[in-house]
Amino acid sequence: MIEVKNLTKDFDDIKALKGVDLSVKEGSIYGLLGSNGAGKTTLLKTLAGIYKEDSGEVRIFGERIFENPTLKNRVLFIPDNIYYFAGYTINDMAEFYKSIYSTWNQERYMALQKVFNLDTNKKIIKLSKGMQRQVAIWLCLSTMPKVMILDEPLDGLDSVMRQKVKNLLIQDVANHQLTIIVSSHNLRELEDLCDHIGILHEGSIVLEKDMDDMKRDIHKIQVSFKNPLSKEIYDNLSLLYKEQRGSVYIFIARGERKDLVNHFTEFEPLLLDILPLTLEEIFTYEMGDVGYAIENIIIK
Amino acid sequence: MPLKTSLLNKGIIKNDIKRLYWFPILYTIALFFAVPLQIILRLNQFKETVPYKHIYGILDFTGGGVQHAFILIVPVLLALLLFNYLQTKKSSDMLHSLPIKRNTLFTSHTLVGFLFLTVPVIANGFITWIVQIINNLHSFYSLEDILLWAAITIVMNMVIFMITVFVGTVTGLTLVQGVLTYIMLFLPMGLLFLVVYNMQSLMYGFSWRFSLVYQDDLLMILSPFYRIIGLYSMEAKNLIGYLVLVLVLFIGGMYLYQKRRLENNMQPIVFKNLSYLFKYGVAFSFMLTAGMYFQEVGGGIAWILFGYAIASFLGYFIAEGILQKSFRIINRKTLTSYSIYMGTVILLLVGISLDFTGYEKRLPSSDEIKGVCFATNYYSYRHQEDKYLYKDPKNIQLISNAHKEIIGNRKNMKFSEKVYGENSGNLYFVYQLKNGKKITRGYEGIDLSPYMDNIKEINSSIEYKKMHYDVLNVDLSKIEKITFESHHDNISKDLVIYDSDEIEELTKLLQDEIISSNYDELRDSRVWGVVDLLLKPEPDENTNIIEATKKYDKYTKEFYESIAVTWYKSFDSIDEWLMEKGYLEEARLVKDEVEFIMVNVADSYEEADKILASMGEGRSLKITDKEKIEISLKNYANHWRYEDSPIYVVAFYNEAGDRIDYGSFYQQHVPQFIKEYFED
Repeated sequence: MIEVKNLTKDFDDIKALKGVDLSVKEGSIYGLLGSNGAGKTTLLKTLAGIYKEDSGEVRIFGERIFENPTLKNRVLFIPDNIYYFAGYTINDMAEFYKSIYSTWNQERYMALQKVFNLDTNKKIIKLSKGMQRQVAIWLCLSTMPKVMILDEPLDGLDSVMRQKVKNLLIQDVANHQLTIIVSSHNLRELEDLCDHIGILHEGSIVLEKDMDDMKRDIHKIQVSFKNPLSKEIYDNLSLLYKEQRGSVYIFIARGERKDLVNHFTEFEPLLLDILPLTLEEIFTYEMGDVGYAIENIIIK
Repeated sequence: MPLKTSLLNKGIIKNDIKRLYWFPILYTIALFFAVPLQIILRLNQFKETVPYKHIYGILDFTGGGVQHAFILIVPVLLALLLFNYLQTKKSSDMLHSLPIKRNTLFTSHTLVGFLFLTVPVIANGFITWIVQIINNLHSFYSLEDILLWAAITIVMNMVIFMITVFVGTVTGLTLVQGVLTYIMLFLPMGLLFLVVYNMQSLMYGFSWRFSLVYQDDLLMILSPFYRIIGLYSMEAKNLIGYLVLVLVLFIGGMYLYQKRRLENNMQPIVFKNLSYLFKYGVAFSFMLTAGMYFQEVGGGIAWILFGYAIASFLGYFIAEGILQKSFRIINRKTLTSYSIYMGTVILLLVGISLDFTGYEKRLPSSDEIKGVCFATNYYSYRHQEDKYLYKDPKNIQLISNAHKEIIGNRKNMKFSEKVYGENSGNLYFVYQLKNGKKITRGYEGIDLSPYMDNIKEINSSIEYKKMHYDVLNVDLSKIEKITFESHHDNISKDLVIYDSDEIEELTKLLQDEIISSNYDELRDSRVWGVVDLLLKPEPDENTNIIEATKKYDKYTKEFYESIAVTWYKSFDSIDEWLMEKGYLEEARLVKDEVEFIMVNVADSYEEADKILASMGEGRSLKITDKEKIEISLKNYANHWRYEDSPIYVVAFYNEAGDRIDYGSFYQQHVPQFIKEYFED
């Protein structure tokens, strides 16, 4: 339902996006991971119809988003740096959104006040950065969006608020078939929120993964053998990484745990330890596979 | 309602009003102070005389410039406020993520702008009208006055607002938008000035006067700034013209907004192509300014070229620095880009100096010419082009020949060199061709002596005289009276002729004298005074208006249209006629009134003043012989000049020994007996 094909975008001399392909299913939460300057914000702003595609196309529900008010009515964007009119209170802003979005839901706005627990007559400029972000999400949810595009939405929130926001988003996805694209430079932030993750590096998507598949599929195996290692061990093994520490071998391999246990038991190991990888580790190895160093991409 | 949904957004409009409602309120108050309150404050004065004077400067934009300042500042501020969101990333992202088309945003904000600028004007117009009705001021200003004032204010507000908005669609910083707006308001006129002045120094025969003098209409069209500065009223066609401009700017602005790359916000200029225009434009303007400067201070071509090089380099890199917001701008890329500019300029200059277009040598052949204006004084030509049009083939040939000589003398001149001194002068040629085209040339500060024979011959022609001496064209029946005036140091003479037969005789004599006089005679220093032909008042003329050009008759205490004729001493027939009628003594100083004269020589202009104070001292000459007095009277001029050395100072005395008049003899007019005395 969100389809990006071969999207490019130049800023004067800099190629910000070099042929991005992306696909997001309805009702899913897609995490866009990338370091600063990778092109995340550019991609998101193009997805939100703020920037015009230089080439390639962005389609949401099969339609082009740029200069498409009907579609933009249901596609909400919250930038990393949120703008509010000077001197406006939360209620003023709500009134503005109400006059702009035909799908504005006043009851929902009122109901969400209990969740966010902010004084609606307070000037937004005077709120903290985290609170301002909550207001944005609050207003955004009140327009009953179909798609939410969030640029670093959890940045600057404390852990309690972070969890609260995450829950709200997940709830909305579950209840209203909301689709969310959320960017971050921090994998851990996305780990328990997203069902898909794409890594954007230097203007291209270098990796796109289904989280469930990933967690299930990749394991870290620590093994040692009585006899020297037989070459046959590599047969039928989708190996991502290997390392030898004394007599202990460390393998990272794809495959279900059950199959991997069977595979290694055949070679009579002295020690066999099979563990699921943390997301971070998975990316480290996967990206190593693609040829990039993870440290550059995911800042911890 | 597709139009409503596509071009205007209620939410945006409502929000603009909510955010900026204070703006029209302040503007209304400001206007109230400038207009209705001014009238209210002057209410007491209205009871006194001179009806119009008391509202002077209120509804006609002449009072102190407050209203001009409003027009130049208020719309710019409003446009900056309304479109400020375009100039910062945060707000731009927010507003463009809303489900609203760019056209709709543009139209909605613009509408609010028009509303905020118009409602206060209408409100104040209304108040002014009420003030008029309550205080019964109908004879001081009318509803039409109010409506015209409102229309001009509203339209000019819209123009300035729309220019600011238009500029805003290409800039990415509010400061740049503001600065660029004022540059734009002035730019076309400024560029015209610069180009014209530079062409004058580069092209022989090009005069700035043809492009700039008496061209206020053009300049006002080119620069709204200039129009507003000198604003007092405006015609309907101008107002409509400005409304068309507003529409063009609106459509243009909308188009550029649509094309705008929001990712370039925070860049001074968001369109790459326009930033080239900006750089090269700044370089060009700097270059021409330097060229003008070095021409003014009298530098030669080398200095001008030096100025071009330095200034364009400076201008280009200043512009580049603004665009890149950086000082580190000198690199290969920018240097290449500047070289392209310089190369183009060099080509252009080479083209001009080789006269590729044939501008300097172009001279229409006599069978092409319908007529030609030819003058040594630009202003005399410009006032009445048709009046000074030579059509006589003989004169056209003479003018053409002179022009050909001027073109031929080009090679003898150094670049844009001007001569100074007695022979220095200007010549202007305006050829009206049979095909309806015009060729204009002006040569300023050239040495006129090679062309003097031609000029004298032209100026001696009847055609020339008919152009310059209205007495030759006067309708005798229109002359009511003729006055002679002759002012001397201590005695003034005036004579009035009322008799119609005498008027006719006298006028004919004057006409004959002028026709028979040659070039030099009509520029002679020996003048009795002035003869004025006072014309009968035209019945339909508005007598309330006193024009400076009219002649005041102290006898009747009335103002007359008049034709003035300089009364040269060489007009012997006039003297004879006056003598015959017995009027001579009433008209001018005669020998019988002079008992004796004193003459002395001074070496300098300053010394002449001292000598006059002590006329009898030194080796001065006293003359009592009546014949010699008569000769002296006929030859003296009533002043002295710097050029003469020695200066023959002369003073005339009456019987009582009081000085009646004084003056000097020009070198060529010193009577023989005086010359002999002093040469001994």
